[in-house]
Amino acid sequence: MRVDKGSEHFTTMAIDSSEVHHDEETASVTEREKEFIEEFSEIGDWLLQYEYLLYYIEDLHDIPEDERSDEIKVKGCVSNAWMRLSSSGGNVCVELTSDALIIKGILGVITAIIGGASVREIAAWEPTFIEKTPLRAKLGMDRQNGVASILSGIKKYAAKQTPWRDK
Amino acid sequence: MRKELDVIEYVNEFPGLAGSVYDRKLIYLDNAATNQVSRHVIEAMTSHLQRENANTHRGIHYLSELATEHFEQARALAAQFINASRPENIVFNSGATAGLNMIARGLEPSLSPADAVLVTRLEHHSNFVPWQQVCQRTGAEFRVVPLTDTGELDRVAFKKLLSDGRVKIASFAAVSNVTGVVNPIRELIAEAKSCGALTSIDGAQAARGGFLDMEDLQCDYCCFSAHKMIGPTGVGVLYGKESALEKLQVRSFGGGMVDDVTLTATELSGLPFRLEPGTPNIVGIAGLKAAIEDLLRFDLKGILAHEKALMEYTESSLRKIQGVEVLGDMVGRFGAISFVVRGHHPYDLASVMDKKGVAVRVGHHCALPHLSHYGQTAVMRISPAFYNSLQDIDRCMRALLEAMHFFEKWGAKHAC
Repeated sequence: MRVDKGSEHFTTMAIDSSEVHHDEETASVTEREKEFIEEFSEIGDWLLQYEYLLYYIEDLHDIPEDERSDEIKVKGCVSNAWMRLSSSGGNVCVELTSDALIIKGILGVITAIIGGASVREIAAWEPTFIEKTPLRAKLGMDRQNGVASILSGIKKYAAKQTPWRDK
Repeated sequence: MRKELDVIEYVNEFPGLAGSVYDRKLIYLDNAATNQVSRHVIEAMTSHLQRENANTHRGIHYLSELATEHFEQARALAAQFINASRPENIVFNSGATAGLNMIARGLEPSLSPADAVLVTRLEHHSNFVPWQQVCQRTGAEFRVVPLTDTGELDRVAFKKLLSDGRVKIASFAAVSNVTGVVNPIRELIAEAKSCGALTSIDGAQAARGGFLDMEDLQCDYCCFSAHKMIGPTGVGVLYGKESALEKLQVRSFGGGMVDDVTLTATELSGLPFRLEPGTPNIVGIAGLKAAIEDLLRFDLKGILAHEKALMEYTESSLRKIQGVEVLGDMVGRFGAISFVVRGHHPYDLASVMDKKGVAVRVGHHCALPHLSHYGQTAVMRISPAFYNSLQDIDRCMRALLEAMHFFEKWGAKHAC
């Protein structure tokens, strides 16, 4: 049963949200992720895989170099990333960047997958695009942990922005 | 004994070099992180596990006695390898990091705000952080010797920082794991001792190169790890003069290091056993013994000459590439050279080089204070060993150039 966000039946919304809203209202994030997984996995050549990732840099909302402060830094042993989150009108604005291009590409993938999605969709999303693609082998544990940390930060932020009646 | 270094023969002794990655021949140039091990080392460890796998210094049965005998032979051989006067000067542990921490924590109770500890800016974290933390806890002053513009130790500053007589211990690396700079440790030790300081050497990067001669150096402590001298990971040596080891308060307790324990008191064993709590990495020590046997039978002079040629060739090749900035400008590097490429992140370049079979390391190399001297937080490091060839260096350079070419258009478009 589909429940209108504007509905007065809060109890009904709470009961139904796990069955209906998760499937329907996160569909766009999940579908975009699925599309990336399928397309990326079809590329057999590692060099073309890197190129494919690098094209996603275009999707980033970059953070200018002079604004990359320690407060928004996601520290890593090999490369660094910066993340700045804000929300407006029920959507999360995710600004991400890294000093390494490959990581920037992966951050671009994240941006493309969640772009325009509601806070509820993002909070409910369970990312699988790393483990289900050759990225898992290519990234290495440390970078995987760094990306996981970014994804976790985005989801937690989105969850905090989700109106209580939608949780 | 070989008269000339035959790289091919050495390569054949190291099975780990025979592999391929991503259908490319492996070019292993990350020896400052870990060396490959020889067949002899692998066979020694396998033989131990198959034929004498028992705990040492604990049992009276045949296997235990045999394991103990070989364990103590390893200790004697380690002493011989670094020209220590007695096997009792050798304490086995899990590696240089464990040894350096043992020295720092062992001397901690003797430090006060009236004292100072001296390290240098080119230290690995394992010879920087323990001392920094000990000083924070005790109030002793933490002094860091700066580097010169060429990336070498500032000898004038070293002398000045010792001159007030407050330095209780001076601890420094024999060889840098980042730039490969070789410190004049004999002179530094003598200078520190003349000012009343104990001296501790981080020998991790130096052990393979024959730099560690305790009789010649006369340092109080020296630590090194098996896995940076063609041995296995998880085992290392803390050398100490007897008087210096006696100064270390025991901070870790367990089995094998006590003579008596009652409800109210414990009598510790003598040296070195009281500094070896718990069951040691016995199979690892069998590997260390075999690694030392290898290094003693290899042509050390030939090895060092070849490693010198490799480092010089690597540096000259790097300096020919436009955009490459080599860290430091010193003569006589050993085992490592680090650099950045303008407009490229080392992670990006190394990722592509990896797919071409070339294994190098990127990051801060556990030496953030050292990197900060150059204004860097991540650099690429090439660290050949005697089983590498000049052709390996050529392939590495080719892979680097290809990686730079691949990222050029992206870097210009999306400058990081």
